[in-house]
Amino acid sequence: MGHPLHLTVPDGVPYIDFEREFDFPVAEVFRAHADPALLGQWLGPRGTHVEVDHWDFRTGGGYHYHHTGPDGVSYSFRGVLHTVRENELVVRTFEFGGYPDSVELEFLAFEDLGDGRCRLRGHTIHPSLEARDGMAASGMESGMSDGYERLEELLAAARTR
Amino acid sequence: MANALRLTAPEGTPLVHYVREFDLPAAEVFHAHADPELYRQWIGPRGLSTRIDVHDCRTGGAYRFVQRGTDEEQDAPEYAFRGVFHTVRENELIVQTFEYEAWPDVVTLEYARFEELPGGRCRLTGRSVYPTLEARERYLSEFMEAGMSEGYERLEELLAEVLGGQGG
Repeated sequence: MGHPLHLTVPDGVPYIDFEREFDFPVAEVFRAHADPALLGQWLGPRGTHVEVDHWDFRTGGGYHYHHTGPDGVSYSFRGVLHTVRENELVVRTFEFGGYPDSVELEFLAFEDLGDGRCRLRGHTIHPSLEARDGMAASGMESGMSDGYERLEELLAAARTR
Repeated sequence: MANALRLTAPEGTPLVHYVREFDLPAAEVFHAHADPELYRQWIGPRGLSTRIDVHDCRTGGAYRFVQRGTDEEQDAPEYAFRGVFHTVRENELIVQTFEYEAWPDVVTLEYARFEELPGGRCRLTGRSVYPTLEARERYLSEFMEAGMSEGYERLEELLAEVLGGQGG
């Protein structure tokens, strides 16, 4: 258990790319992204609490949730789902309420590696290099890295039940 | 023409920027984007007709339209496009996704800002972000410049007709 998150911030293009493997089947990792009750248990840094305000996880749907940190400060996020293909692909927009109109488009590809393992590949595109750099500097990487460890722990706990 | 489309595609980036002014108020130009019956009549190059399947132009809404040649051929090719609206603020801003269905999963993020100018004029400022550099080149070469500039000319003609018809 405990695969690293590989995250790259390429020069000159407003993208962020990341990759993370899991020793869990693709269907379980996908479901942890699709089911709001599961998502609320792993998304974001440790010590934060997620509340899902709106969740319509299908092509053409949308979402809205907020994180509350240990200091009580809340951060809200919302977007629309351009494509949802079960166990395969999510294409959605993403906007942090603290930076209104700085919208990014995210591609999340779920890949079955066989033997009950899978790989998640992400590609996010941002409206400008400045917006991308701001996101990359926001603590995103450690938050994601924490989140994916929590996701593994959640799926492992579900398995032993 | 003073109101010509100015489109720029900075080298080495997956971005396209464009600016287009209109001798029309921002509210009219916005309305021509938001109203499916008007949108159908101007979107895309001349010589294609558009069928709107969905055009729910509000935050969280979706759209899909299909274009085909207006000639009599039964087997004229069809071009289908779809996406979702992330933000729609009336007379001000549309942020949406965009996909040409024949190039599945090559999804673009698009911004269109509407800005009032003095004298009943307005400026539309757009920005498209492509998921790869190759995707941008492909869109530029196959669709964008001719289709967009003809589309905006058709928009002007359409609004001149609609507003003229109102006796305004």
